[in-house]
Amino acid sequence: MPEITEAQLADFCEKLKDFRESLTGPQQALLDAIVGIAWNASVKEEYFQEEFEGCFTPDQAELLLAYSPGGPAADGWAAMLPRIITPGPTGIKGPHAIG
Amino acid sequence: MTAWPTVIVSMPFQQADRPSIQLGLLKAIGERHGFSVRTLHANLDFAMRIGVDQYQPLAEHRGRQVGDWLFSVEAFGDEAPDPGGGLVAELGVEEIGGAERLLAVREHDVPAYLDALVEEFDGVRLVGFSSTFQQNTASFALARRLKERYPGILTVFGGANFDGEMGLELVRSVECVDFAVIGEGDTVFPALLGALAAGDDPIGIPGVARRVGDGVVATPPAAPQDRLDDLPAPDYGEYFERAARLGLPTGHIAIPFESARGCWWGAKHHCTFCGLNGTTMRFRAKSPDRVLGELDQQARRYHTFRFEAVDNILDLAYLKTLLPAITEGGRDYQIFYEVKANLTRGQLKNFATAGVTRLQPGLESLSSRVLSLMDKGVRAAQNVNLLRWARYYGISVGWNILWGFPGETAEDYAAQTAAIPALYHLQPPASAGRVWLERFSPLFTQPSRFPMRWRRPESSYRQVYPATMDIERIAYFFEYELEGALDPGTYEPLRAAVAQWSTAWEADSAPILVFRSAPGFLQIYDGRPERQGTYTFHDTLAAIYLACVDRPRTAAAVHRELGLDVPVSAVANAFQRFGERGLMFLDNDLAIALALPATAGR
Repeated sequence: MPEITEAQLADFCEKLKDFRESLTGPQQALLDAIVGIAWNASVKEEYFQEEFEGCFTPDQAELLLAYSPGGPAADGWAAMLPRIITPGPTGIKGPHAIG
Repeated sequence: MTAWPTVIVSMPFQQADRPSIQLGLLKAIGERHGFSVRTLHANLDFAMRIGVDQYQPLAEHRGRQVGDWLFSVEAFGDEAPDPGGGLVAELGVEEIGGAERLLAVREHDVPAYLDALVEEFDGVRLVGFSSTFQQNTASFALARRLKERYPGILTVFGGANFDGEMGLELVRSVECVDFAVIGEGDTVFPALLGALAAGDDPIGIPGVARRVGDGVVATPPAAPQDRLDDLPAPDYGEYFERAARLGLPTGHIAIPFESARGCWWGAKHHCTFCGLNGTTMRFRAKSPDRVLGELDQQARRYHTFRFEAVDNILDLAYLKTLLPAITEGGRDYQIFYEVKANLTRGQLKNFATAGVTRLQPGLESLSSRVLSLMDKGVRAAQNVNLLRWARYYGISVGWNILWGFPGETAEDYAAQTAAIPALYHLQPPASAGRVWLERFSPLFTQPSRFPMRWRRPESSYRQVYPATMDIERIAYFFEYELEGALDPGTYEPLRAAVAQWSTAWEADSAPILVFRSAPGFLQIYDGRPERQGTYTFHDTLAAIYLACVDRPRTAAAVHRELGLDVPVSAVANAFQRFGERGLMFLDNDLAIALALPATAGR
């Protein structure tokens, strides 16, 4: 929230607290809900943003693919996943598609 | 009572790389009732004559009736509608031999093949023909020649091409058809043999039809066979003998077996495009012990471990009975099955350990909205999840992408196109195309629900069958235009994306997307084309991703499971960000992680 300073936020919270004390119980509950929703709406973009921005390292996979995880080193990660036992795509028995 | 010498025949274009289960089963049924029945896989002779490499594409070809066209002149003589070969001149038929070659096959190979075949019927009194897809005209052509050569011979036809009104019209209009069995033949066939042996008229047998004057007399079929356990195991001995005599390799043949009939999903929610099962949708299955016994028997009998279920859908009970029994018994079978797509990771693991190496799950689309229009009863995220775990456990998946459904929008296809590059590490569809309109499908039978501007039999039927036949009643495939259909160009980007997917999949180095994790730490290694790199996530983000590995999840479910102190919207937002990076497949409120565990076999 770059558009307000920390001092402004502290002042707003103090006024909100005073205002809240002047309300009845149901009114306080309503205010709490409104503030909660506004908070969620205003901060949700902040969650995980930094982690996503720094999550990708180009080309590192190439190095890691060469590392042997206990099996044969030559094929690395690619060899760990069975490609397909039966070679190639299977034929389709049903006639539904116009190929 | 004197049994009639009987031969049942499978003509082109039954596939040559496997025996006909129809023939094998009817032979075993006949012999159980005391009738000697010979099977004749005459399709093999034709495959050898024109070359297996040319035969197989013709056998697998659907829609355009090129195979039936090849035998049309021999079947109908002067009444054949296309003596000059207009059909193959109009069509692009390069992938099935080319026009010049197909004309030569029709003019030279077909008559020579029939001439040679006729010699094998000396002394035979009854000939049965099983006809499915493009086996009609080859069967009619042989029947016609047999009747010319052996005037006393009788013919009986059956198979899917004779289901419902198709069979009645074929009996009415094709002179060489003496009898037809409409519907399942398990009880009708031996009853017919018995009636002929006793000198009785078979016409009173339920399911038998014959031509009388200009009309057809038919006794309504009996209820479909309920107790499949009572059926014998098919007898394929004569297939293997003939293949060996012709020099066809049989070492890798998958033995067809039947563990169920009908479709339990279709009985409740008939997929809108599906015309399979015709008039017998009700689901019936053999007991697991019975299936296992048949596999064991056939493996010993034919020295094979490869089997191919002809079922339209797997009996779900087998997941807890048949599959564990195969695994625990230490059998090393390789099995093909058709299944419904909503299988779990654990179920796919059970398939793999039981030796189910190939599945056809009827995925049909990567759009939940289009799947809903089809009445498939499955979401796109479930389809993707099946592809993921099938890859992980080494199961090959045969599937198509279909389009052309009432109510679909351009956005449905744009979204699928956009999703495909993230799926390059999964098995692509074998094809992508517009759905056929099939007889018996809801699209065909419910015109008020699916309004069409027009509908007519697929055009090549008119270049195969004489004008005296009612094509509307014998056709299985139809051409059509829906009210509100999208422009055909709408689908081209998806078609192109599927082609690129296939190219990526078939590259020497298969695309991969795998992860390793430790508490609070996740790394995803991306080896898909043009995406090579490593993603690293920690703590909550890692936990969110891992929560979506096994099955599709909603943000609310993940939030609840992890007990997060961030709002649900933050989880949904994380889904979006994973999706933007091609690490998750997003399907409305569902998200499924796309990476697979790097550690195999768990």
